Amino acid sequence: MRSIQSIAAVQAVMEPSPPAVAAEAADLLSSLPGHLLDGILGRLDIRDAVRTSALSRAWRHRWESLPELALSFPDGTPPAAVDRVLLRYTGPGVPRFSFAVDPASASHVGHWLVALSRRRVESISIYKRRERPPRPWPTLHSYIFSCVHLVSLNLEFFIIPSFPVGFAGFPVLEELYLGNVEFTYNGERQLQDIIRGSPLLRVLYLADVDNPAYCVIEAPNLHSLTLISDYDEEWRFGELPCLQHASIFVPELEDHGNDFGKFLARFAQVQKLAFHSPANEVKIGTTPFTFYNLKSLELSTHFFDMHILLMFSLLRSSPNLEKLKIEVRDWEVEDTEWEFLSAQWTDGMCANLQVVQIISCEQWLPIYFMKLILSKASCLRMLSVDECPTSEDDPLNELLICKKASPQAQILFEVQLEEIRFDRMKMKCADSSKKRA
Amino acid sequence: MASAGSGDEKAAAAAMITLISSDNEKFEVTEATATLSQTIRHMIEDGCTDGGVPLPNVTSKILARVIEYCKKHATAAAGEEGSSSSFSDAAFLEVDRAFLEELEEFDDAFLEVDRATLFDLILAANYLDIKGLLNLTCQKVADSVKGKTPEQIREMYNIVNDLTPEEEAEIRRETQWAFE
Repeated sequence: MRSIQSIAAVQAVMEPSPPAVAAEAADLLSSLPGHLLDGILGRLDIRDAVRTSALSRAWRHRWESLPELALSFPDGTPPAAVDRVLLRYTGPGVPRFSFAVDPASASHVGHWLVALSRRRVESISIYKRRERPPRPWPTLHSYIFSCVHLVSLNLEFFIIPSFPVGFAGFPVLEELYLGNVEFTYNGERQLQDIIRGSPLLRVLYLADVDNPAYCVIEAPNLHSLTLISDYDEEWRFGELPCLQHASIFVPELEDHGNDFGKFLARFAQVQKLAFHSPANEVKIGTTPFTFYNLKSLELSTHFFDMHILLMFSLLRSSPNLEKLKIEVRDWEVEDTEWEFLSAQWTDGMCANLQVVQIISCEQWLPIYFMKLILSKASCLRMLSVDECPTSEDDPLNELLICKKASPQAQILFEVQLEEIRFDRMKMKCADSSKKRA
Repeated sequence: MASAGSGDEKAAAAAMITLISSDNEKFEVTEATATLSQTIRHMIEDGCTDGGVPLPNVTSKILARVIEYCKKHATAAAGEEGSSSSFSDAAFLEVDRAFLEELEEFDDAFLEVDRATLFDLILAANYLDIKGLLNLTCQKVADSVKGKTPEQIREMYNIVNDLTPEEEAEIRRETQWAFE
């Protein structure tokens, strides 16, 4: 009885079988049920989708009514082509709109935003094409604030307009990337308001964003923060209870080197910290905080006294660190290196350190530092270096014969190591791996 | 009545289901493999799988491939669940990556089929509601169109060009940017 019922049930949900035509002659694509064909075409990039209009009559307008189509225009697309696509494409869903603007196309952006705001656009990325555009940057059309389905927003070289009446935020925004944006004269607190109005924000990237109004960055779900700014002074951080990754690049500090520990203390809860130490003198004294959760530290630094002290200070305050990556940007040869370095070591430092990666600078390697790690880090599994020390390096010998604190520690030379990045590419990589998982 | 919803996970995982293809061939698979198909999952939940599940829309040739896919991915899903409890360690992440790579290699090899089979797999994945397989096969078709000229696509998929030369020239003119 049951099996008969189930046959009926199965047949009821079956798609109608495709007509029996000779397989050789069948137009395979058109034989698919409509929603499947839409799904396949929705995966094409915009150029491939538009080109299908030249296949046959049936195909001429097919792309224009796809339920979803990503409008990611390759670099160099004429802005008139975008105008035409936005005019012709009537489907409701735009998972992605991206376009690289140059001064010639900047005037079109306003119209595009008007068109996009009428559709369900989930991601907008409008960025510069090649060279830095001249000031003044164009003011973005305020229709950007009508795109309330945005999950991801990436803007470069724009002035953000003032909010329209009734703007309450981006309710589902998860990723916000701003590079070289300014806010309108009256809207100094706009950044703060956008962030507050985006309760689901997980990723925030701020590169060369002016913050003259000392906006407070406060976001209950923020997971990942990148801050690239000439001025560390103007940034204020409130509660960031979910922050796990921080990438901080402040090229030069303002005149308050003593407070640097305080600045870093704002990120004391993170698991992963990438940090580009400032070029000028930094002082960190006794660290007033502990990075209890920190598992991975990436440090781009000089090997000068002051910077070495900063590095040791960070290592001392990160008791659970497992992975350390150091990129040497510059160095100073010191006769007393070994004595100086070993004097910095304190009991309990790097007690959980397992993986160390060192990126050399003009083939120079901090051999004494490597020796110190080898002889002290008792859980070390792997020390990898992108170069091989030359045989003239006297200390190399010391490195090879030094008594390792961890019997299983391996040293690998000439390993390809990815340099420490603070730019958007890195965020994109992190993002795509998240999506794959 | 033995149904999936009732308790003991291990017993459920070991339970066998018989799938019957359109040409009446029987395939015995574990419930974990079969339930990658939402269609079959619902039937199991409704308790209507005794005596086998007839799939009058899927030939034995295609069903065998679908089961091959489901077996591999069911094992993958079980592996992921097992390992996610031991979080964090770098060594674990390496194992995880190797595992994902192996799965990717399997998928690539799986897709090495002729076009007609690929389309039959799409229809089967749709009918059986197997999301992973549907994604994989649809992406393969989309990838096959990428960067191709209309002539190449017409030839690949037997599309008859019924546009007049004038119409075609007009379309190409309007969408010239997409041809560059």
